Amino acid sequence: MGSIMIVRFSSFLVVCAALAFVIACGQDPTPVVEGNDDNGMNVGQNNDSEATRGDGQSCGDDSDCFSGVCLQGDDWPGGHCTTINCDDDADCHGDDAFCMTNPEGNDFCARPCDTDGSGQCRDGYTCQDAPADPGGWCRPGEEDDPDPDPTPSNNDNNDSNNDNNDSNNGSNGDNGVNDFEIECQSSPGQQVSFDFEVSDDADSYMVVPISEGLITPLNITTPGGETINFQGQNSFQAAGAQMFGVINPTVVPAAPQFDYQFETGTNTYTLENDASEICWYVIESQDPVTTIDLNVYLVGVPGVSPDDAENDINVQNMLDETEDILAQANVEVGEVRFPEVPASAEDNYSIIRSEQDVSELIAYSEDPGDTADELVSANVFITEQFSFSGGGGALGISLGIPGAAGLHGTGISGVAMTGEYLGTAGGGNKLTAVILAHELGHFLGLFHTTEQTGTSMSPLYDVPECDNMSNPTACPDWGNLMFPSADTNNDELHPDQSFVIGVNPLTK
Amino acid sequence: MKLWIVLIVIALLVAPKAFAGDEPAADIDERDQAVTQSDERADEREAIEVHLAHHHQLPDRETLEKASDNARAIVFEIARDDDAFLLHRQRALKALALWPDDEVYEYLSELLEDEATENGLRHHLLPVLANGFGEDALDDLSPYLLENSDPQIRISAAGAIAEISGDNAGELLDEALETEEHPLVESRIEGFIDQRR
Ligand SMILES: [Zn+2]
Repeated sequence: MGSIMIVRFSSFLVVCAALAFVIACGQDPTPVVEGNDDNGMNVGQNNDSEATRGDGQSCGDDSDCFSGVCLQGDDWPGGHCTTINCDDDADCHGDDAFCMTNPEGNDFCARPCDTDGSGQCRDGYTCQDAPADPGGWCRPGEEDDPDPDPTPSNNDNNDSNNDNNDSNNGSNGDNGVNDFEIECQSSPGQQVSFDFEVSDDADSYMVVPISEGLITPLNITTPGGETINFQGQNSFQAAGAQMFGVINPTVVPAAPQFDYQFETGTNTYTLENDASEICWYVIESQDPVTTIDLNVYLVGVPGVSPDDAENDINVQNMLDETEDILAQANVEVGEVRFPEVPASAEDNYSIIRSEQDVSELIAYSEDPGDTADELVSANVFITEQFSFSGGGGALGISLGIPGAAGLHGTGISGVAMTGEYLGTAGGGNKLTAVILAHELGHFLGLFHTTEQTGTSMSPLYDVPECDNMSNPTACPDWGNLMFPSADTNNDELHPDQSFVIGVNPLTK
Repeated sequence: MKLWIVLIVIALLVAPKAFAGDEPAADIDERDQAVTQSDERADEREAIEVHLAHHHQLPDRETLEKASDNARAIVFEIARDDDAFLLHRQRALKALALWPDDEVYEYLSELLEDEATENGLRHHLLPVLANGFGEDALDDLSPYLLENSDPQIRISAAGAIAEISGDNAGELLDEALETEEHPLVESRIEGFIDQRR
């Protein structure tokens, strides 16, 4: 097995954005903020010296809070600093805050109060009994509001925060997150550059710039002076920023003809950035790659639960078919985990009705373990059904081309797809495998061979394109996994596509 | 070998040609033409099925009509075909709304109401009727929002109705919010109402 090295880790930064659609975020999916205009978020302790506010105090944005997390929106009048995923009071920031047990989701820090007293909470907040702790907490809402229901939830949000700082305050801090270092630097002007190291052992890498504002990738310059131009011949590598605004997972080399763009040593990424800070992380990969690990979340798929998925004949048959497809790229399915989502999430998202549902569901993904090897695994959400309220139709959605490797608990952390054809007659398991492999293909960096319009964004030379999509089965790319139509016959990979799969650090 | 056996074998071998030769030339052309048309129709159906099976979107009407002059008829044929591949049939039912006429409405609304229809299919049909027929479908959709015993069906109905513009759809959602007692359905209806604003 080739090795994976995650080379920069100090805190874990999660992003979400809403360009193509709203993405809900959260290492664990709470808390998130309803109606927040902010489209990005930082995770971890705020090192900004301007932070002055402790947990439970008001805030205008994340930089105001010691914790780096400012809950905002109508549910949090005046803003509310907090620390999410606290284990005990010592995790909370500032004086006079406590770690409140949240039966609905993640524990978080709030301001305590005496329910027998009055005037202890600021405007817009009243003292009410803590749901599972002795005493009260300053909860959003007025005295006469019987149920303001401000408890952070995972619904209808486009921003959230996550806590995994260097001091391991967050409950997720133990899950190998220390292995991740997301470096950050200030971004004073509109254009910013950051240096990142690629070790001599690496054969490819993914660098992931992340911002709280919108970014436009411009280029990477290599130690040898090559320029990877995201406004020119490598424009297809700006797909992440085009889709999500705030993140752009970038694999180098992106295609065989760009092999020369990979160089070890100090590379420099330049981009336009709307925020005052730019962050990034790098994951390297070494040849040969042989395996991809999957975290398969079964969400309301009839007749199969996560507990018995390992013995379910249809699930296993489908995974075998998927492995057969990936075997063309010399990749086998390695460890397959079947984590569960909370029952409430299953109720909410077993039937996917919108793209927003997809991102909110994917935000329930969790770190699969402590090690970098465990973290570098792909999340696959298979639901009972995809039935979009707005019409149209999708069988599956990948959050990124490519998606961000090693990032869990955000609205862009994986792929989601329908499981309604599992076990159905006429090749339902194979069709489901094709859908899964197709979405994984996107997440690993593959574009469609040809779009419905007859155009293609694929940079790969050896994959034929179709010039007459009105007769699709006559197309030269009919039969390819990345043909835009789902068919049990569309399961082939070309060598260039195998190259793309192989250089992505998710294959290891 | 006996001569008569040879003759019979030869006779059998040449018989079809002989019979065919007895037919008028026009009949041959018609049969060939029918076979050709049948092949063409099968090709067109296959092309339509491929377009319907797009990974990420339904094809538009122009795409389907480019694939076949008989696109509507073929889509209808797939939609009515209980033996069709499930994905193709589901997508054909959705695509029918690209031709939102009385015949299509009657078929889809009857299928929605048919007791034999599985709820899985209803989740697809509710948005099809809403998106294809708008306010004209409200009367048929409202029982699924207000009266259906399955919370998931009520959510799908709410999501579908929320896609219909106009006051009537909004008032129906408000009514549902007032009467709904299931917390999840209530919160989803609230979300749909918020999205309309
Ligand atoms: Zn696709």
